[in-house]
Amino acid sequence: MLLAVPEFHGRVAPTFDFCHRVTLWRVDERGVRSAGQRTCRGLGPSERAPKLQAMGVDVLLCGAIGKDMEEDIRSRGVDVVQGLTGEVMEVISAYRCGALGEPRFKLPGVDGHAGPCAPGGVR
Amino acid sequence: MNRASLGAAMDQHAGCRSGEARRKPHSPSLALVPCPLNPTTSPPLAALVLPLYPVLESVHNATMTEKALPSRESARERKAGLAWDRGLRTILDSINDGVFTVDSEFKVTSFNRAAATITGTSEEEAVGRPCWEVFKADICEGSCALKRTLATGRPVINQSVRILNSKAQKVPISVSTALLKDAKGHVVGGVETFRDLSLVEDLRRQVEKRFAFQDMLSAHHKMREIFELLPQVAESDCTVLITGESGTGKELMARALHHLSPRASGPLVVVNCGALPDALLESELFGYRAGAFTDAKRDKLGRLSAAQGGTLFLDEVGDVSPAMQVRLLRVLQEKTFEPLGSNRTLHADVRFLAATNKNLLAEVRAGRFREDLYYRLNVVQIAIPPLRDRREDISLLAMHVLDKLNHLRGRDIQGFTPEAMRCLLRYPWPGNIRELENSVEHAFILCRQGLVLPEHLPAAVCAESGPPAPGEAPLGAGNLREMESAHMLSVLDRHKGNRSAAARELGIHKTTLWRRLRKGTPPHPS
Repeated sequence: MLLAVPEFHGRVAPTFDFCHRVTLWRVDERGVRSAGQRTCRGLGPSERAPKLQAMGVDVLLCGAIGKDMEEDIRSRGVDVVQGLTGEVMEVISAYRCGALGEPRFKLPGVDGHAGPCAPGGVR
Repeated sequence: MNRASLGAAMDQHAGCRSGEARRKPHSPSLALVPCPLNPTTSPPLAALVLPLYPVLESVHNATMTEKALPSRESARERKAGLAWDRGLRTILDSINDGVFTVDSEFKVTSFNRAAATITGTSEEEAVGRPCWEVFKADICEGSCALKRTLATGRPVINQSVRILNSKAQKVPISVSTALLKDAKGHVVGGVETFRDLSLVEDLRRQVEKRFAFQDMLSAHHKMREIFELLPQVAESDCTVLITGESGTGKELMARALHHLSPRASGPLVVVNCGALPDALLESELFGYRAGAFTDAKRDKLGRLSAAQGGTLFLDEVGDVSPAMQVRLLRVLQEKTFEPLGSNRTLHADVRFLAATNKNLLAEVRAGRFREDLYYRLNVVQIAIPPLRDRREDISLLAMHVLDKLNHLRGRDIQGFTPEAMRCLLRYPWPGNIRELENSVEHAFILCRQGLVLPEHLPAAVCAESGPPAPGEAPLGAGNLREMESAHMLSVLDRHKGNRSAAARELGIHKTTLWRRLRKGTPPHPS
C-alpha cells in the first residue's frame, strides 16, 4: 500500500491544497519504507488529484483539505484521512495501529477529523 | 507590556510617518473605512487597525510576561494593569478584523474573536500552536508574510491570501503584518491582522455581472449606452455597421446582436472580407455552379445561402475591392444574388452586419469606398471605443480573463499585485482587448501561484512608460536611495526574504544589503 503524506517542517503540512511537497511511504508486512517525495509546488487545484492517482497512491493522510479537492481525490479511488497534525512518522505509525483518533493528531479548526476509526494496520 | 515601545511597531506599519497614532497610544479609535470593491486598490487595513497596535503589544506581552511582573509593582498598579488588559481584550474582540500575535518561533500568543470566526479555530485551540497550523493559508509554506516581516523588519500591507476555513472552504482575505517589540526595542514576535474579503469578492462578481452584456464586459459609459441600445437594434432587421479598432470586440458585438435578434435560432455566418482575395471572396459569398470555372466540379453553396434565415457578418468590409463593392451593394439593396455560373436569381433571407477598423467615411472621401454602399451599410452605426479610452475596463477585463483561465485550466491565480495592475493601467493597449487577453494569458502561464507580479507580464507592457494615472505618483519619484532601497526590497521579496539569495542576485554581500536597506528606510517620524 502506498501512503502519501504532505510534509512541512517534518510535520504533516497544514493544508493539502496549498502544500509544496508530498512524501510517499510504502507500507507492507515488512514495515514502512520511504518511497521518495514529490514536489507539488505551483500545481493547480485540478492537477493535484490526478498527480496522486498517477503516483498510485492508495491513501492520503493530510491536514486540512478543500471539499472539492477531497471529493476529486476520493473519486479517483484514493482514500483520504484528513484533519491530521503531528510528526509525519508518528502519524504513519498511528495510522497503522488505528490510533489517529487521539487528540494529539487533531489539527485545530478542522471539522471531520479522522476520528478513532481511521483504518488501522496494513491492508 | 511596556506601552512606550508601541511607537516602533506602529511607525513601521504602513509607512506611518505622522507619528500621530504614536502620540495617542491610549486612545485607540476605530475609524470606519469604506469597504473597497477592488482588493488591489483597497485602503490599507492599517487604516483600521493601526491604532490597535499598542493594544496588541500590550495583550501579547500580558500573555508572555504575566508571571514575570516585577515584584515591586504595587497591587494597585497590578489591578490597573489587569483592568487595562481586559479593556484591550474587549476592544480587540469588538473589531471585525482578525488579529493574532506570534512569538519568535511563530507560535500563536493571542487570537481575537474575529480571527476565530474567520478561520473557524477557537482561541483555546489556536494559542500555543504554530501559526501555519491555525491559519492554513496558501502563503504559509512559501512566502509567509510574518516570516518576511521578521526577516526584513518591514511590514506587509494588504497582501491577498486564501485560507482554508473549518468548513473546508477557501476564503479570500487580505493580511497585514508588523513587528512586535519589547520595551528595549527587541523584536519579540509579530502581529498579523487580516480581513475577510469574501464579501468583496462577491461584490466583485456582482459588479462583473452588472457590467456584463452577452459575452461583453464594460463599465464605460459609452459601452453601457451601447448595451442599452443593443436589444432594440437587434430586434429590428436593419443593417448594422460596427466600427472600432482591431481587437475591440466587433465580432462579439455582432454575435450579441445575432443572439438578441429574432433570427437567433438561425445561423450566424462570418466572412472575413479582408482575408480573402477578390475572386475567392466572390465564390465564397455567392457560391458557384459546376463548370463555372476550372476545377468547379460540383455546385457549391455560398455563405449567403448558408446564412439563410440567420445573419451574415461581413468582417473587415472596408477592405473589399471596388468590383466586389458593387456586387455587395446589389445584395444589400435587393436581397437577391446569383451564384457564379448561374443565371438563376436567389433570394437572400439574411440580416447583414458589417464591421471595419477603417474610417469608412474617409475612405468614401478618398474615393476608395462607394458612397452608396457606405450609406446602405451605415443604417445603424455602433462605434466601439478603444481600450485606452476606457481605462475603467482594464482591471475588470483583466480579472475576468484571469477568472476564465483559472476555470479552464483548474488553477488558482488570485489576481494582480498593485504594481502589476499599475502596469496594465498605464499601458496604451494598441491591440486593445485582444492584446490584454494575450498579456493576461502570458502572465497566467508564468505565474505559478498567488498574485501576478509585474515580471509575469510581457516586457512591453511593463516597459511602457505612459503617463501616470490621476493621483498616482510617477514611478521613480523619490531620491536615488529610495529607488535603490525599493529595488533591493523587490529582489528580497522575490527570494521570499532570503537575504543571502537576494544579495547573490544583487552582486553584493548580504551585510551590505542589510546595511543599505537600513539606510534606505524612510526616516523615523520623530
